[in-house]
Amino acid sequence: MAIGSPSDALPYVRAIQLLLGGYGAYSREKRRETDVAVREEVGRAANRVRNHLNNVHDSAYRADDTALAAACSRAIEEVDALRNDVDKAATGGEHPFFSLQKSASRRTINKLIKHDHDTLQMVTKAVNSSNEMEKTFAEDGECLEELLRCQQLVSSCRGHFSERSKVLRKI
Amino acid sequence: MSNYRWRNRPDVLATLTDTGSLKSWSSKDVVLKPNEAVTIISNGKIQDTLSETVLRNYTGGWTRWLGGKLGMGAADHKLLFTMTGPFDLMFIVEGQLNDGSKVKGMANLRLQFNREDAAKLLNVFANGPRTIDRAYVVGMYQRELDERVLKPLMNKFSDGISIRSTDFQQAFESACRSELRTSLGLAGITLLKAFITVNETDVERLAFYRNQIETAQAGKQIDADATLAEIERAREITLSRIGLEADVARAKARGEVEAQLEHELKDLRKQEAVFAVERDHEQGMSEIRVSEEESRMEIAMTAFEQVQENKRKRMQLQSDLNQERQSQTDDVQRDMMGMAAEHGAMSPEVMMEFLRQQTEQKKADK
Repeated sequence: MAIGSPSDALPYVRAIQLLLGGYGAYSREKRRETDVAVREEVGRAANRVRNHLNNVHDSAYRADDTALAAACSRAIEEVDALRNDVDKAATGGEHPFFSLQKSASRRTINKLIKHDHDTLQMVTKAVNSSNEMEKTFAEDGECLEELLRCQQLVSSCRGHFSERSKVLRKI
Repeated sequence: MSNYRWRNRPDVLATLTDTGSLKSWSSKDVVLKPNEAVTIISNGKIQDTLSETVLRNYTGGWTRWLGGKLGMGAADHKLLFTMTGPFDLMFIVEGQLNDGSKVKGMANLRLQFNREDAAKLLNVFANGPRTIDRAYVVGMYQRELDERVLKPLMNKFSDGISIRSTDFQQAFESACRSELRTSLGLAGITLLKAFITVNETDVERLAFYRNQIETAQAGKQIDADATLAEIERAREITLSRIGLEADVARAKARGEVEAQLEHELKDLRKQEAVFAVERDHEQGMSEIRVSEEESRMEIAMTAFEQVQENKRKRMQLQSDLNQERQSQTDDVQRDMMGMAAEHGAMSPEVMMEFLRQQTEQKKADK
C-alpha cells in the first residue's frame, strides 16, 4: 500500500508509539532521535532473540546434542549480523538551506514510517518465535524446526532492514 | 575547536577518563563514531551511553576549570569510552590429547562490546588499569579458557587427526559460548565467533611419513609394471620373428620366398632391436635411481672403514713403540742389576726400587 497523505501513516505511527514511547515520527526537529530510537529498538529485540538462542544452545551443548548446538550457533551468528547491520546503518543526511540536495517530502517520510513499522513487526515476530522455541525445547527436548523458523525470521528482518537505506536515500 | 582524542593506539579497547583531569585552554568536542560509545558517569551515577554524536565543548577549557575551582558543576564526572566494533583476541593453546600427544596452537576469539553493555566495563575498571587493551583482556581470560574450555575439550578427542575435524571446531566454539558467557558478560563482552588453529601434531607427522613411504612404493611398483610390460612386448616380437623366420625358411624350401615376407621380417628385427635398446636404457635408469642411495651409503661406509683402518694402524704403531721402549728399559735395568750383583750391592731396597720403576714405566705407557 502506497502512503500518500499524512493521515495514511497515522495507524503506523500509533502502532510504533505503542513500542517506542517517545516516537517522533521523523518530525523536522526529531528526525535523528527517531532514527536512533527505531534502530535501538531493533537492536534490543535482536538481543532478546539472542538470549533465547543462547539458552537453548547451552542446554543442547550440555546434553551433547551437537547438531542442535551447531544450529543455534548459526542462528546466533545471523542475529549478530542483524545487530551489526542495525548498528552500522546509514542514518540519512540533514541538508542545510541552499543545499542542492532534495529535502524529504512528507510522502517519503510516511514510507519510512511504514517501513519502520514493518521492520519492528518482523523483529517482534522473531522474538515471539524464539520464545516459543525455548518453550518447546523445555517441554520436548527438541526444537530444530522452531529454531530454523526463528533463524528465517531474523534473516527476513535483516533483508527488510537493508531496504531502509533505499528509502532513506530520498531524504 | 579541536576534538578530544581518547584513543592513541589501535589495541586500546576502552578507557575511563576523569574529565577534571583534562586540562586545556579551550574546550574540546567529543566526536563519537558509529563504532565508539561513551558512557557518562556523573556524581556516582551512570547517566547515559551515547554513540554517533558530537558532544559540544564537553572536555577541557579554562572556564570549566575555573567553574570546578569555584565548586560549580558535578563533583565527580567521568567518561567511559569504549570501542564497539568487533575485535580479535589470540590465546595460546597448549594441551594434551586423550592419547597423550601434545597440542600447541592459537585460539582466536572474536568479541565485541555492545553499546548497551558498555557500562559493565566499570566492573573491570574497579580492579584494573584506567586503559584496557587487548593484552589485558587476554590476560584476564587466558587461564579460564585453559581450564574451562581447552583442557576438557582436548580430553574428549582421541588423537592428533581428530582435531582437524569440523566437530572439534564446533565443539570449541560451543564450549567457549557456553563456558565463558558469564565471565565475558560481567565485562560487557559478547562472543561473536571462536576458532582454534593447531600446529602439526606427532600423529599427523607420522601419517605424512607413512604417506611418503606409500607413494615411493607405488612409484616403484609402476616402474616394475612398466618394465614387465616392455619385456612382454619384446618377448612377443621375438616370438613373431622366430615364427616368421620359420615361415621364410619353409617358403625358401618350397622356393616361394616373397619380398613382402622378407620386409616384414626386417621390420620385426628392427623393432626388436629398438625395444632391446629402450629396455636397456630404462633398466639402466632404474638401476641408477635405485643405486643412488646405495652408492651414497657405500661412500659413507668406505669413509668409515678408512677411518677405522687409520685408527687401527695408529694404535698398532703406538703398541709397537711401547713394546720397544719397554724392552730397552728392561735391558738397561737388567744390566744395572747385573752390575749391582757383581759389586755385591744387591739388597731388598734395590729390588723394591727396581719393581717400583717397572710399575711407573707401565703406567706411563698406558
